[in-house]
Amino acid sequence: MSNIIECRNLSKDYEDVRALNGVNLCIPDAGGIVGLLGPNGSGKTTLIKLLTGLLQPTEGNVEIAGKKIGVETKAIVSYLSDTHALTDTYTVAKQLDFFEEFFDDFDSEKAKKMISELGIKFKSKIKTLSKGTKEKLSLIFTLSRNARLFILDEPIAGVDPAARDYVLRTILTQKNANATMLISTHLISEIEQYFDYVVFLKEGNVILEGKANEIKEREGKSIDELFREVFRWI
Amino acid sequence: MDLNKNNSVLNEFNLPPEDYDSTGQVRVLRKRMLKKLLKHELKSLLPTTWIMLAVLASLTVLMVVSMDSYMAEAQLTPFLTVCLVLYIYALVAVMVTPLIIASTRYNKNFFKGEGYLTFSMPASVEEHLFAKHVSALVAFFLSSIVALVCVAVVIGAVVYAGGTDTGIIEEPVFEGITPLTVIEALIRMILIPISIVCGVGAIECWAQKFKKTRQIVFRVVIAYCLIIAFETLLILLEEKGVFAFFYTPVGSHVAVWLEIFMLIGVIVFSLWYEIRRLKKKLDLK
Repeated sequence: MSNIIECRNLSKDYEDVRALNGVNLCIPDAGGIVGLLGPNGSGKTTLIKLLTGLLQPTEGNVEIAGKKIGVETKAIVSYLSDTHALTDTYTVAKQLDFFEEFFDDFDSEKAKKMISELGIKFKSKIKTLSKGTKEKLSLIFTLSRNARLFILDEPIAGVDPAARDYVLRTILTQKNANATMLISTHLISEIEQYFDYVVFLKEGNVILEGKANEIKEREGKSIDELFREVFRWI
Repeated sequence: MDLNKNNSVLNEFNLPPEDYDSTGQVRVLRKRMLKKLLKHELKSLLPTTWIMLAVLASLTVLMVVSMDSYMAEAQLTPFLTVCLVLYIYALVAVMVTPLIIASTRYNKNFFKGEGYLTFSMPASVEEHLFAKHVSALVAFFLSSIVALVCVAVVIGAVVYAGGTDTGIIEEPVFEGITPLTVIEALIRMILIPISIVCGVGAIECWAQKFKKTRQIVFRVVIAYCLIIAFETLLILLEEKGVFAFFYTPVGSHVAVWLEIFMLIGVIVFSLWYEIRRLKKKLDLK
């Protein structure tokens, strides 16, 4: 089976700080949900930014579906950043048009249906929406693409428990069966049951990776318990 | 794995090999994205420009209409003085507004939260920059042409109302014009706006090195002080007679071509710096 994500000796430095240290990672193109787990500062967001082409590696290579990061990989990757990235001055309808215009795989009808279900008015300006609604809207736009790889950076951090339920439900119900979804989080207990594959990052190194079920069986612990054990002293 | 076979976006084209570039990307797709970006930028930039142009056009009409009262009383009335001041402000605003909007959009789209969306779009940094700069140039040229027409209309009105007494039509404006000077003027007319637009982009990229609170200080004080210092240096050198050669017939052409090469240098350096910053040193806040 080919790999959807392949990192070879991948390193990233921010001036004097090494955020990623020679990461070697192969995630098979098998669909499913991949958990990218690690405490704050472990390099999760840096790795995601390298995968989405927002940063360039200091050393090493990173490929998606066998292609170096570039325009072609961006066409098949749908990315939800941990920062609010929608245009505040736009209305919801205008932002919808924006996605429809620039992402050929964007399913406008699916997005409209999900927005209507949430009761968001299409004429509302994005800056007038609450933080939680903005995050839900960003998630809707991200999941409405028929992408091969979805990358969600901390989708459940910073939202209230009700919104968290909505986010998780939406991720599970709207996910394309053939697509792979990489979710970075440190709130493992809420989401670990859905992981097919997990990657543990610690201080810029991959310390554990593999199928979630196999790891649970081998270690005799849940992913959350294992996470707490591994990162106890951080 | 052949991405072209798996990706619905690329797969919709059943094109001959010559339509793929060296990286295997579809040229048609790239052109289509460039068109979309350009259209999007123009749609974002032009509405405000239109408003400014409409204000200038209205003030031009007001100036022309009030010209009769000036000619009748042979002095500036308070009303005409206000119109004149507003007119000068509007002229400056029309020229500067497209650059300010373009620079604000540049900063917001590339370096703020929106940057995450901008750079996850299937477009290259070069395509983004091309769309931003070309749209800014279109707005700038449009504003310049309308401003020139408006000024010409006002001057025309003055000449029409006052005849040759104004002295405007007696100026020997066409003296000394040769095909070479026309070519030089045209090249400068094209290069100056391009260098301004690219320079503004490079300054925006440079400003990101500073902390948020210092960025405005940097843009306003440092960038403009540098320009003023450069201008002052030129004036001082001119007073010392350093540029005497440039006032000779041959020297004047040498001066123009030196300026042209300097402008090309500014454009090339700015673009190189912008691409380097956006590709290699991007640090979204």
